[in-house]
Amino acid sequence: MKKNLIFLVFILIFAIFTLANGREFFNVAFANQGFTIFPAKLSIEVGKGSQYNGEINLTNAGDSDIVVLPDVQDILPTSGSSGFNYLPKAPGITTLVDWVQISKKPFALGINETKKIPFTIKIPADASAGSRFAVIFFATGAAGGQLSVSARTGTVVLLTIPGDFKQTGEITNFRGPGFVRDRNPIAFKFDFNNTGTVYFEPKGTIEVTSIFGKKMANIEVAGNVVLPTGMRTIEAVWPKPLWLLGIYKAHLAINVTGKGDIATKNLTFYALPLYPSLGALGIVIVLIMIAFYVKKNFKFTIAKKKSKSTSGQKDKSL
Amino acid sequence: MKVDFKKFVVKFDKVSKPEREEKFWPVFMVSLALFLMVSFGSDFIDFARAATSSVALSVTVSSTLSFSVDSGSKGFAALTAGTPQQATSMLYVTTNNATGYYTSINRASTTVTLSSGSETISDAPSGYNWTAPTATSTATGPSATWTYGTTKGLGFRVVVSASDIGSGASTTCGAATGWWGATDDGAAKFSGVSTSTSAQKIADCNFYNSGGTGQAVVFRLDVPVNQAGGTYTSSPITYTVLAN
Repeated sequence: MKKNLIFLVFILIFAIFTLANGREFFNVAFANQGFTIFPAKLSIEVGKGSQYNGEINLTNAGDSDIVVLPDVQDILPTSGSSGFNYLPKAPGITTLVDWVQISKKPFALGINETKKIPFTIKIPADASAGSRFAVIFFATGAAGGQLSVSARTGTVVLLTIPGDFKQTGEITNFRGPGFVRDRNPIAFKFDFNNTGTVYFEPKGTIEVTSIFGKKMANIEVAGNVVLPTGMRTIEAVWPKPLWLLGIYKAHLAINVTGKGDIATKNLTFYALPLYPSLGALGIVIVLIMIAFYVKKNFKFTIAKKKSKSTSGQKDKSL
Repeated sequence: MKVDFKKFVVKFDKVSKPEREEKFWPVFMVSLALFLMVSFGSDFIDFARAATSSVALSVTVSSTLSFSVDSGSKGFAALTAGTPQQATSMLYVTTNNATGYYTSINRASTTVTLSSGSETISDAPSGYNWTAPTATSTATGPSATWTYGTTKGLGFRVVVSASDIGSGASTTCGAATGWWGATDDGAAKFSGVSTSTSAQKIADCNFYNSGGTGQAVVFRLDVPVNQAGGTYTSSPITYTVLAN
């Protein structure tokens, strides 16, 4: 009897333990998993022989404890496009992967837990001027199962080593609406080719002017990263334009701090505000009808009063 | 009616008309005026206000990104050759990055995704294996519509029709119809998870959205009749989300 009781208690403890671990396994395998990362993008300029000390804040945004797998990979741009590949290390010369020092040891991260992850980028004294690109990745461990899925994000590091480098670009295919008839947001697009040796975040403005030269808007072009030899289609939106009427010129200027505008392009578009035009037409019609009605139904007379010096009376009828 | 000025007198004398005609025109004009006011009044108010000048302030806010996937494991129902089975991953992303983010996919190894011992399932439905086009997102990619009973293998695609997947996120952000088909029914295009371990872009959500966005990635699986039976498991598939 006593033996049976001990056996029963043992079975009960075993069952509770198994269920608890099973639930944990279930959570790892099927729960929502992911990260919040800050910064998501890091644009830095570090001189030869110098180092940059940074810190990444990584939070477990999933609903279970996870094991985080850190990694650093090079970004290799694809010529003539906005595409690129990640590689554990780009072939040939030393790359940013060689210079980033960060612990690649997997670590545990509880639900909503945030970990500050320090890293250092040491630039050799003999490094050539220009840009280097890498991503410091953080991935969830694979959970297993039939179709095993993991989430990965990271901090994109865009490094520029100052020196004798070329920062140039070309705008091609600047396009926008040919005809505007309402006040919907107006989107302008252009392709930016990075012809230099460093990465580019083409920033600038699109200035819209009327045919008489009056400035209507200054639209900001946000910085999209374009890697050397790469091309990216960039869009800038005039969110709430005024009512436009006539011929307008859009002048796109991409600039670099200290160098001014390095690439410009123009386009012309036409505008006729449909609804206000219909409204104005309606008002004109109403005014004509009022005039017609008044003329037909009323007799309008202006009579000069009799005065001492004037004995006659002049009437003027409309 | 008579208006008396100092030196002039202005007179309005109504010409008498039949009663019916007198009522029609005032009613018509008032109605037309009301119609125009209701239709275009707000536009004209905006038009008048548009001349006001404004001052712009600027500040740079560092970018942050939050990304999660609904589950670390997906399962298909038991598969019979000729009747495809589907599984869906939901991706949720919020970022304050002005130029948004992009989503990539890759598998951890260069071997096929699904295997059971030495038996494997093709990663090239209709002969296509995904490599993101280098041109703009409107360019077509290596993907094709799924022909039931004919297309075999493991394929995936990004849902293109708008639907809320929670927290205000939409399934469509950056999902190019040139890549994944104009609709999610018969026109839906599938491709295989790339044989390369390098991540391939599947969506480019290249704008800021305060409410968060996302994608739904659908996996579809079918096998030929002579496929060896058994339980097939995958090499890990990784979704990568990075700031643009």
